Amino acid sequence: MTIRVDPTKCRGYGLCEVLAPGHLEADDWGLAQSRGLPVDQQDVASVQAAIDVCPFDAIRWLEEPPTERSF
Amino acid sequence: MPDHGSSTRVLRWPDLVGGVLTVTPESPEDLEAYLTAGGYRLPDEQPTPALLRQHLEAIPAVTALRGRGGAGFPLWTKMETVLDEAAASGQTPVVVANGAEGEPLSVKDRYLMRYRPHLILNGAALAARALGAKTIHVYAHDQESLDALKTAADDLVAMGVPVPKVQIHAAQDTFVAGEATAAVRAINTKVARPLDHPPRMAKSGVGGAPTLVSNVETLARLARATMPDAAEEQSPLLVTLSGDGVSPTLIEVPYGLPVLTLLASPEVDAAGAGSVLAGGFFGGVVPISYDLGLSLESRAEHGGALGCASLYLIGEGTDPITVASAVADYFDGNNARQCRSCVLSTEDTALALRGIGATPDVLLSRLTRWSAQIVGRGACAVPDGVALLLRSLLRHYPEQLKAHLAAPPPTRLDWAGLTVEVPSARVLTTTGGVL
Repeated sequence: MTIRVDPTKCRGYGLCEVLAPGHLEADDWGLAQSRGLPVDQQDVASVQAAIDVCPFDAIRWLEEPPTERSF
Repeated sequence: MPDHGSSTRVLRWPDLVGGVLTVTPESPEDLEAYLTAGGYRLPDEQPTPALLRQHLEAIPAVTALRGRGGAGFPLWTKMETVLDEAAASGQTPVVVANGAEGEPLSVKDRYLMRYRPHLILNGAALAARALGAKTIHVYAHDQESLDALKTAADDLVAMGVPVPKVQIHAAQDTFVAGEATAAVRAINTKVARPLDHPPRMAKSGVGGAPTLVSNVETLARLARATMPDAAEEQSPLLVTLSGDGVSPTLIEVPYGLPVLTLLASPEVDAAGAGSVLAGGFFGGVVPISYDLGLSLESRAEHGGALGCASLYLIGEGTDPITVASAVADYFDGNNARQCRSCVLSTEDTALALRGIGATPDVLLSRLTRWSAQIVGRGACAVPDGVALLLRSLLRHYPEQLKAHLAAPPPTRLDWAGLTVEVPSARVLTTTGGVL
C-alpha cells in the first residue's frame, strides 16, 4: 500500500511530515507530498497517525497505484 | 467581404487510408448523406452486445485505437473495464462523448462535431450498443458544435434511426472542463472541476453508473474503423497546425508521419521551423529532428507527448523559451484553482520563466527541481503538463534557458498569438487529396 495527499485538501499544516518523515515531505511551498514509497508493516502506525492528525483529511491509503490523470 | 485571413483551412493528406475527412470537408455532413455513405448500419447487423463486440474485436483498427483526447489510452481496454464493472454491479453502463476541447491550439474536435456530427454519434452508438448502454451523453462547450450535434440527434429521432437516447450537455468554456473526471462531475453536478482520485469512472461515473468517457474524435475513429477502407491498424491523426510561418491548418495525416515530411509538403510548406510546441500544452517543446514522428511512441522518445496531436511551429528566429513562458502563463491563469500545489507551482514557474523571483542560477535550480517535484501534484494533469514542459526545456534547450533566465526578453510572446480559430465553412479550402 502507498499513500496519497489530496492536493485539493492539503493546506500545508506540516503535522504529517513530522509524524511520518519517511513517507511524507514538504515541497517547496510547504505543502505535503507523499514520497511514493510502499508503506511497510513497521511504518503503518506512524503513517496512520499522520493521516489521523491532518485537519483536512487530506491523506489517504491507496490500495492500487493512482489512476491516470489526464485531459 | 469579411476578412478570414487567419481562419483555419482543412487539408487531407494524399492517398490517406481510413480518414474521417470527406471529399468536401468544407460542407457539414447531414444524416441523409451519412446514411447514403453506409452510416448507422452495424448495430442492426449485429443485434446483441456480445455479437457486436465480437465483430468489433476482429477489426484491427478498433482494437488498436488509442484515445485522441490526450492521454492515448486504448479504447478497447477502457470498454472492457466498463463491461467488467457493469457485470459486477449489475448496473447499466453509460457513454459520454467528450467534446469539451479546452486546448486553445486544437480545433479538431470542434471541426468533427460541426462537420461530421453523425460520425461521432455513430461511434458513440456503437460503443453504447457494445456495452449495453441505453444513454449517450454528449458534452461540449462550443455552441455551434452543440447545435450541430443537437440537430443530428433530432434528425435521428425524426428518421427513426434506432440509436440509444442522446442527451446534450453544455460544458463551461474553460481549460479544465474537458478533463474526464471534470466532464462526469459537470454532467452530475454542473461543477466542471477535476476530482482527485475519484471513484473509477468505469465503476461509478454518470449517475453512479459504469461510464465510458471517450473523446469525440476517438468515437468518430471507432465508427470509421467499421466502414469500408478502414486503416490497417493505427487510424490517421487530425493535426491542428499553427505558429510561425504557417497559416492555421487542420490536416489529417497517416499515424506516425514524420513531422519533417508534413512540414515539407507543398501545401503546408513550413520547412523553416526549428522547434515545435506539440500536443496542445501537454507535449513540451522539442526541436524538429528527422526522427520526430506523429505517434505516441516517437513523441515519448523525444521526452514529450502526442497529446491532442497539435503542432505549434516555432521559427528559427523565435526563442523557444518565450513560447514555453507563454504556456506557463496560460497554465497559471487557467488552472482550476482548487489544488494549492498546482496554483502555487504554476504561478512560480510562470514567474521564474520571466526571470522573476531570484537570481538566474537559483531560478534554474528551482525549475530543475520542480520539473520532477510537481509531477502528480494535482487532481488533474496540469502540474504534470508544467513539469513536462520544464523537462523538455532542460533536455533540449539548456543553454537557451540559462540565457533566457539571465536576460528575459522585454516583451514576452502575446498569448493571443498562440490561439487558433475554429474552421469556418466560408473559408475552408481543400486539396482534395492531390497535395
